[in-house]
Amino acid sequence: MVNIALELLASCTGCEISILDLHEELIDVLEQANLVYAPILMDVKEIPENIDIAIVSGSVRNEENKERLEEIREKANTVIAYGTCACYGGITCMADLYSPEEVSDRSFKDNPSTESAAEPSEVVPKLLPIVHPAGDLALIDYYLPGCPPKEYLVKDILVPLINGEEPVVPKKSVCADCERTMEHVEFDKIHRRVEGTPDPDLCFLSQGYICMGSATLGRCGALCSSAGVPCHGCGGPSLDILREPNHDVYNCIVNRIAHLSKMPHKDVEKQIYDVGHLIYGFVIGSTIMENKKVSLIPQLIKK
Amino acid sequence: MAYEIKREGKEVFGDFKPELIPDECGGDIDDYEEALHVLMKFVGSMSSALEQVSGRGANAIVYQAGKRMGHEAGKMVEKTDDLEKAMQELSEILGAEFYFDMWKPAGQEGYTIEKGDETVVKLIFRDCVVRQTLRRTGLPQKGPLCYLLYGYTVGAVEEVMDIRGKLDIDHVGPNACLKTLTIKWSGK
Amino acid sequence: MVEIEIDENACVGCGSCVDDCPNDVYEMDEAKNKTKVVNADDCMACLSCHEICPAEAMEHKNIHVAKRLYIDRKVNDVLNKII
Repeated sequence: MVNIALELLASCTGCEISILDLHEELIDVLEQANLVYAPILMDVKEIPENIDIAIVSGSVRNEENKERLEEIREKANTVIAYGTCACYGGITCMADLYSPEEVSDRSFKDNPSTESAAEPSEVVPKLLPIVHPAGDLALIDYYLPGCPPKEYLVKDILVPLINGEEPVVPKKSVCADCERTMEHVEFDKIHRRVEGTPDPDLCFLSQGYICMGSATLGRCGALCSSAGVPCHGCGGPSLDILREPNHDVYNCIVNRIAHLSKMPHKDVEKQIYDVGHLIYGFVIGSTIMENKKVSLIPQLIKK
Repeated sequence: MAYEIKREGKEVFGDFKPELIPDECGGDIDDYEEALHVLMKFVGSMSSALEQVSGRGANAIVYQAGKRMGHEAGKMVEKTDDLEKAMQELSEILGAEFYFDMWKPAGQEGYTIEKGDETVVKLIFRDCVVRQTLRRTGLPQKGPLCYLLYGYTVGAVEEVMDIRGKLDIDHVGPNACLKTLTIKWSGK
Repeated sequence: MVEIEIDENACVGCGSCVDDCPNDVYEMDEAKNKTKVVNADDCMACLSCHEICPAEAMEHKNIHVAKRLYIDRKVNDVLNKII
């Protein structure tokens, strides 16, 4: 029997629930595997020894996350970084746009809907100066990005891994899953998501909305695009952006919009309304993305 | 006040006698990777600074520098009049870092085309250290560094075949670049 | 010979590869609104089409893949571990 542990660092627990999305097939998995530790799902408080596969989700925000990550790395044979937060930092790393003092002041002292209070000083672990993805602080064996990874991925990737096989699933960008048609259309104004009503068959980029699909790892079935919402980049960067040092999410999107609309690059850059939250929303914490020479992340984060 | 710079590993001390070879002469792949990448960044930033300062003139300066280098390298190989043999010698000069082939469109008969006093052949450069340097630092292709390579190629061909030559670039891409080499026989 | 395969499910019909290719290897199939390969013999495997395709829809087989030593080994490591 294989021993599986799920560890929850600074996570929204969406990744844990996505593993439950196996539905009835969870019973088949549990016939070959023992779930020995899973906060949120089980009541075991301490990480046991002899774990075969540890599935870590969430990023490292405070001292306790760091200790838990190091402990589970010691006690497990294989560690899988599950979800975009564990792989690249995810949404939790948008906290890097502010200093830890600003973040805790906003929660306790200056919150508009509560009475002002001091930050708790007992029991609550200290915040680290920046948020780290799990991959930066421990040696990870597999990365599975997604926010959360979709059900069929849990079935097609996680279950074979538990059985000791390494599956090969294509890793194309979101545009490959999307049903819309991309056309070269000349325009000179970029719209915010709340403006206008988009045509359901035409690519969002062709209509002047900022869609991150061409720069994002897909395998999500392009759910957002088929529901009428431009992609937000939750799968992390596409593989060719990760691989090439001169490709970054920002300059790929700017080049794509300029190429389709024939707008000059400078005009496109001026009209992008929020670089930190919109373009880099899911990758700010990743050191791979930060180390690129063309990346704007170093200008955005506050250390 | 004594102050020490803190580093990750410990400083390694050893002996040095001129007749012995210390371990530092070789290295493992981490050393080579770091050295290569830092060198690429240096070369890339020098090339982009040159372009910003000298503008178009940068290409001409660097082309001449490359041509001189090519002539020097060409002196050490066998001289020949035959174009295909010269391409063989050129591949030995350029080495595996600049892997190239002769190329022709599918409909064309042979690799070379005679145009009066000139012979034209298309060369496709597959592996290219210059392209790798430019992609590391995010610089566009067809800049001064590419001209350095053009000068090198042309200089080597001129030296091997004792003629005047010209290189034009047709297309740059991430995996291969297509160039046209023109041999001017009348320059002899 | 170079073989080019196009994943029709992935292609979004933008036609950027048709415009970008220096040797006119691709053409737009008007009926399906997807790209099709018409001239694989002239392909020199420069892979400019891969760079511009937003959906990573094509695959080149049997080509000389140029070395990419400029990629950090750390990044290589992470790329190999993404499943």
